[in-house]
Amino acid sequence: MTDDRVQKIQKTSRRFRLLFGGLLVVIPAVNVLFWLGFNHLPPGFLDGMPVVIARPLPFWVLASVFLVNLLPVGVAMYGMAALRKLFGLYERGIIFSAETVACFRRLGWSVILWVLASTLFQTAASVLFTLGNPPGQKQLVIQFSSNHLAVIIAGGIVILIARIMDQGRMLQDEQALTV
Amino acid sequence: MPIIINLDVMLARRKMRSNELARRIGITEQNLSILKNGRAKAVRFSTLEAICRELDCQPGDILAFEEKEEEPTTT
Repeated sequence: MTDDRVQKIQKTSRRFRLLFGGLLVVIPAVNVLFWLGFNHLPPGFLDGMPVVIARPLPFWVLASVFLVNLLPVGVAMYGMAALRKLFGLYERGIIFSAETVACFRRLGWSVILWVLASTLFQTAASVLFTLGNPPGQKQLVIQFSSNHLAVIIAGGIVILIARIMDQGRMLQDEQALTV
Repeated sequence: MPIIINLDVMLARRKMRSNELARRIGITEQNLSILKNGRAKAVRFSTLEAICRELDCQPGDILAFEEKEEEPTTT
């Protein structure tokens, strides 16, 4: 690889490393603010919720939903940490290595687990949001759509790419030890 | 690995240092060290040819095959 190309990769990788590093701070902060100010949010912010919500919600409901929400948020942060590490490696010029393969693998699994975690969150949130409703109006929602399936497939593809990259890494290692 | 590299022996016989051989055959000292220490996974014919030319020897003087028995594991 020419020096120019390597430098371009390193420069772009640095930007992405900083981006994902920033998101690792911003996302949990926004998440906390979201749930703290939940009762005062404009209606449009609640479109992603699994049920229609009658506000204001008591603190214990919000705290419970926040704790359950840590599942998908935690998985997303795990994926972003893998991406930050991956771009950190690219920034140092490490392209094919066991560490980069591990990052790809972690990314693939975090994508798949995020689907499961967010499905679990939606179900738990629907129960918690409607726990205070009158009898006959409590809900339990389980959502799984073609979008979720597409994301799972994408995660599987990333894991497969990791395996192929591992083969590339082994070839590179062998090449490095060919005299 | 069953393939043994006897480069040190030939270097001693020819009274040549590793860094000089590396310079003469056009590879880095690090690569020559990889070869000497048995860490190489493969050797190019061009490298072998250059070594044999500089050390005035045959490939069999540098390479040997010794099939080692697996050591029994003790529990």
